[in-house]
Amino acid sequence: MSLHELCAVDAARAIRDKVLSPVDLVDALLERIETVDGRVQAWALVDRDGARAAARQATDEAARGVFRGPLHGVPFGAKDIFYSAGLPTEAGSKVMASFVPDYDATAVGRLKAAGAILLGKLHTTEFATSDPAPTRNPWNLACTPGGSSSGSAAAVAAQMVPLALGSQTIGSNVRPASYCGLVGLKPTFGRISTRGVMPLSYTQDHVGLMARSVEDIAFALAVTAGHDPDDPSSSRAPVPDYLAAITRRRAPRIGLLREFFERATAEVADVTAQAVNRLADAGAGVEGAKLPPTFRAVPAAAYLITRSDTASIHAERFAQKADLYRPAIRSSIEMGMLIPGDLYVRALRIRRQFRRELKPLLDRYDVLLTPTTPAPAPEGMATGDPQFQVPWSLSGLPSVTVPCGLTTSRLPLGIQLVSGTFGEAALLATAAWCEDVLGHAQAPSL
Amino acid sequence: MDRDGLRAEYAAGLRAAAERRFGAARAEALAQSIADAAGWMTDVATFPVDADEPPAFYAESSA
Repeated sequence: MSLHELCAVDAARAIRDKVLSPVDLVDALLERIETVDGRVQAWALVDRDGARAAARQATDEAARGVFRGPLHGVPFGAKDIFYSAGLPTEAGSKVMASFVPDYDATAVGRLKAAGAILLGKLHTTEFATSDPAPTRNPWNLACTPGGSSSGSAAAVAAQMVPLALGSQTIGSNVRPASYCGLVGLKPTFGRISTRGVMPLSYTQDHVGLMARSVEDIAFALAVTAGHDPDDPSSSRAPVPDYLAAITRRRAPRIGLLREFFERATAEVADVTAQAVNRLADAGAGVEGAKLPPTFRAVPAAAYLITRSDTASIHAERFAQKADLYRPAIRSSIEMGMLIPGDLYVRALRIRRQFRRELKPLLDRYDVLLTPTTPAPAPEGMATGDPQFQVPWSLSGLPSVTVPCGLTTSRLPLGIQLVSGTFGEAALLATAAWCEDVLGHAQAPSL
Repeated sequence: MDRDGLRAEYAAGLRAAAERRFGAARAEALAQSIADAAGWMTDVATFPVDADEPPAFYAESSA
C-alpha cells in the first residue's frame, strides 16, 4: 500500500507505533497532489512549506514520545470558507480576494490541537452556494464532485488527503461525499462550532466531515465536537465517546423512507434497495416509515430561511461589491432582500413543527434510511440536486452517508442515515455496522 | 385566493420590489429566481402551521 492510500486512523496508528513519520506522509501526499490535482483541481491553496514545517515538528515530537492528540501527524484539508491563520481564505469569490484571517476556525484549531496538520485549503463554490468550483469528480472527470464542498470531497476521494472539513447549509457536505464515494457526516446543528466559518445561514450552517471510513469520521468528530463559548449557536450538550461507540456495532432498526426511493432514478432506487436487502440479510430490522405532513413544506421553508439569512450576512459587502459576486450568489442575496419578514418567521415555525413531528419516528427506529442522492453525480459543472439533504439541514438532525455501490457507469452511490438530535454516537455505530456489511469506500482509478 | 392566484400575486410583488430596488434590468435577470421564490412563499404561506408553534431558537440546539 502506498502512503497516500492510508486512511486517517491507520496513519495515526502507524505514527504512534513509530513505523511512519509525519514528514514521509506529508511528502507522499504532496507528491500525490502533484500527480493528480492538475486533473481534479481540488485545492485552492496547498501550504507546502507550512505543512512540511508542521510535519518536521510532529516527527521530532513523535521521536521523543510526545503526541499532541489522536491525530498526531495526520494531514487534513479545509474547505476555503474555514478561517486559517496566516493563509488566504477566499471562499471561491473575488469579493474575498487576498483575505487572510488572523485566527483559525475553531474546527481547524481543534484538529491542529489534536495533532493534525493542515495541508491546505480546498475549493468551494462561491460562498458555499452554487456558482461552481473548478473541481472535477475523481471517478469521472466529466462529472461534478458535487458542492458546495467540492474540493473537500474530491481531495479525499482522490487520496490527496485522508480527511477534510466541509460544510452544509442545504446539502453541501453529505451530497458531495456520496458523489465521490466517501463517508460524510453532517452532525447535529451546534455539535461542531461554526466560529471562523464564513456563514451562509445563521440557523442552518453545519460543519461537516469527510473521510474514507466511518472510523476516521468518529476520530475527527471526537476532536472537533463540543461547546465553543465564541459561537452563540454552539451546543453545551455533552460529547459522548464516539470511538467507544463505534465498537458497539449491532444490527439496527431501520425506518425506510420510501418517498425518497420514489423520487430517485430507477438505478439509484434499485442499487439502494439491493443494499437494504443486504443489511436485512445481515440482521437489520427494516420497516417502511412515513414522514409527517410538514415534510412537504420543508424545501420552501429551507430556501426562504437561507435566502433571508444570506442577504443579511452579505448586506454590507454586497452594497459595496455587488458586481464582484457571481450570478447564483448574487441572485440569492437579492431575492433574500425581498422576502417578507412574516414569511421568514413562518418558515422558522414550520421548521420547529417539522422537528417536533419527526420525534416519534426517530424514537421508533435507530436510523431513518434514504438513498443519499436522487441520482449519481451529473456531468458538467452544476453541483447536483440537494433535495435529499434539505430536511436534515433544516431540522438540524445528524445525517451520514455511507457508500453502497456503483452505477453501471461506475459512479458511486450511498445510503443516507439519519438519527435524532445529538445521536451521533449511535448513528456512527450504525454507519460502521452498515460499512461492515456493504464494504468500505473504494478508490477511483486516476 | 387559490394557490395559483397567491403565487402570481407574490411574483408580481417581488418583480415590482426588484425593479424598485435593483432596477429593471436586474429585475428581468431575476425572473427565474422570482418565480422560484414566489413558489416557496406560497408553500410556506399556505401550509397549516400550528397556531401555538413558535419559531425555533438557538437554545434548542442543546435540547
